[in-house]
Amino acid sequence: MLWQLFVTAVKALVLILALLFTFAYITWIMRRGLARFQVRLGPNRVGPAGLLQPIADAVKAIFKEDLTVARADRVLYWLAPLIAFTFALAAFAVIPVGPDGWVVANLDMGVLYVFAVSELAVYGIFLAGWASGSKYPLMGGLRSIAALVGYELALGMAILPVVLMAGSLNLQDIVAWQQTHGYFILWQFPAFLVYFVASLAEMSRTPFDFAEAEQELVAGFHTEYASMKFVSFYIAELLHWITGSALIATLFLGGWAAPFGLPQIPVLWLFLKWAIFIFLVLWIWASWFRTRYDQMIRFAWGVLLPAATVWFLITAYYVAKGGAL
Amino acid sequence: MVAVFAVVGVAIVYATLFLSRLLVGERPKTGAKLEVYESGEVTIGTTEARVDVHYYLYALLFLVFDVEAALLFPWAPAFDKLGWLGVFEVAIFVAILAAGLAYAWLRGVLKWVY
Amino acid sequence: MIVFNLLAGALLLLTGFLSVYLRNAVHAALALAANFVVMGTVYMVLQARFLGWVQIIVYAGAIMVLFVFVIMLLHAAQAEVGFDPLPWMRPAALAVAAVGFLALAWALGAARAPLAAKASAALLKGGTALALGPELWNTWRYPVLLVAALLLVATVAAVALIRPGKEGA
Repeated sequence: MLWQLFVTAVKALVLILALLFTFAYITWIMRRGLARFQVRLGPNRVGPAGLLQPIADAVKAIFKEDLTVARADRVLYWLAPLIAFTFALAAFAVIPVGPDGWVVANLDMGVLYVFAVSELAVYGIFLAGWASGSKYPLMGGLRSIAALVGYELALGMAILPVVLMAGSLNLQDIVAWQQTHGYFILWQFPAFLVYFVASLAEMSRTPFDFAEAEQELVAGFHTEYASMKFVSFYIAELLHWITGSALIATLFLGGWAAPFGLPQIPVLWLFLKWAIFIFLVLWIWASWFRTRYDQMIRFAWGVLLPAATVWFLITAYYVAKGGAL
Repeated sequence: MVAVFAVVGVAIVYATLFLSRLLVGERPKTGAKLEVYESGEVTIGTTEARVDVHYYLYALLFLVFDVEAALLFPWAPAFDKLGWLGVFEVAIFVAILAAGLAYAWLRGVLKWVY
Repeated sequence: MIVFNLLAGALLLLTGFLSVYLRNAVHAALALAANFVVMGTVYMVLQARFLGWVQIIVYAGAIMVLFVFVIMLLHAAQAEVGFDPLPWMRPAALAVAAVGFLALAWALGAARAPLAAKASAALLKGGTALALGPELWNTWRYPVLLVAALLLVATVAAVALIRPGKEGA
């Protein structure tokens, strides 16, 4: 029992440190990548090709003065970044990066865990907006929840046909099913599209990054935050990007399993598949517009949710007819 | 297992916050430092305002379809034990809820809120 | 196991107490959300794993979002202190609570569990979605459809309350 706990703690620590390292370098990839898309150079002064920039940023953030605005609700103002960070991080606990044992928590209902965590992550945004005692953050927080809940549902409904075909809520089983029957991106392309678009909202990336639509909301829910508390939100936001991409790769692109009968190497294949989606999101970010807030809400309820539901029923009909089981 | 993960994560955040506090220390909080930034202007009034009632509708619709998803999640993996009857049941179930969404849509409540 | 029981019990009591005691409605709502999450883990440990997840997803996720919007809608975050609009409410609440506690104590003393804990745990088969699905959609098919009808009524009522007129359709 104690030994098991120790092993889990070590796994958790390794995974969290890996995620934080990934976060640090995703900021570099993001800034360099966006710059390249816009025919700029991006940060290239600190270290070779600007590779030490994330470290410089971290040092700078730590030395910033940590302010708590006088009007803030002190308890929740402190708690909000913590909640946002924890739930952003927690989703990765069930993603398998290799065969048995290469996952922190191999839950038999991992999909439900993912669904629950992405729902609870909304609290961080709302509490930050409310606790700041400032108008734009409050508005940004409320709008974020109102819009995000629609996308949560689209996300959940897009996983259902995958669960239906794989016959399990466990992510390892879903990966194993894809190894024998082929990737879900081929079987479930409409579900993949809905899931990917809803994920963009979940990660608050273009075209749904209105939480930080500076023309309307200044900086949204984290306007009043500074220093490491602001960094916690920033990490949480990019972690959603990181875990979201890893989840898409796991659910629809075979996860850690090697393609084309190549040798199975844990971590490597998931990393490569994950990189595809990281780049895809960056590409959309660099080249697309931001939707208006009401359009975003109507898109979730009027397009994504009905589309996911209809596709779910089609899949049910197909599987009941005896296909693909 | 997950709890261990969460505890390690929380510890790391607090460690960084504490490190920042340790390195920077207390600085005098003078002038406008502790006022809310909002949009850079001097703020007028407080945040104590009522929000649009439409937000309530979004929350309620969310609750409705959340329960739908929660009931469909045990159906999906146990599907092979239920067969055609299960498909019909779920089709009726989804249709009833879709009617509610369609009604809300047609009455024009899913629109811009402030 | 004992450690978990004690910890969960203490957390449930604490968050439950806080959700009543805290004057700020948003703080109270957060305490209630924490209560729901702890309750979910208790369900999971008691071999009702799917129920535990549903408790977290539906209660801590969706119902609390509803609460939050109601608090914001009614502008009820800060309680008005200093006067008591319903002075007879406190003794009445105390009496009701006392009766409730007595009833609960009597029920705990008198009731017999239909099955021993071990037997019922075996019957639950871990309470996973896989074990629950056929049960829910076969034996309890009509109640499930009734739930859908209930949710439809709730949606229609909310829409009708928000937009009583025909404009903007």
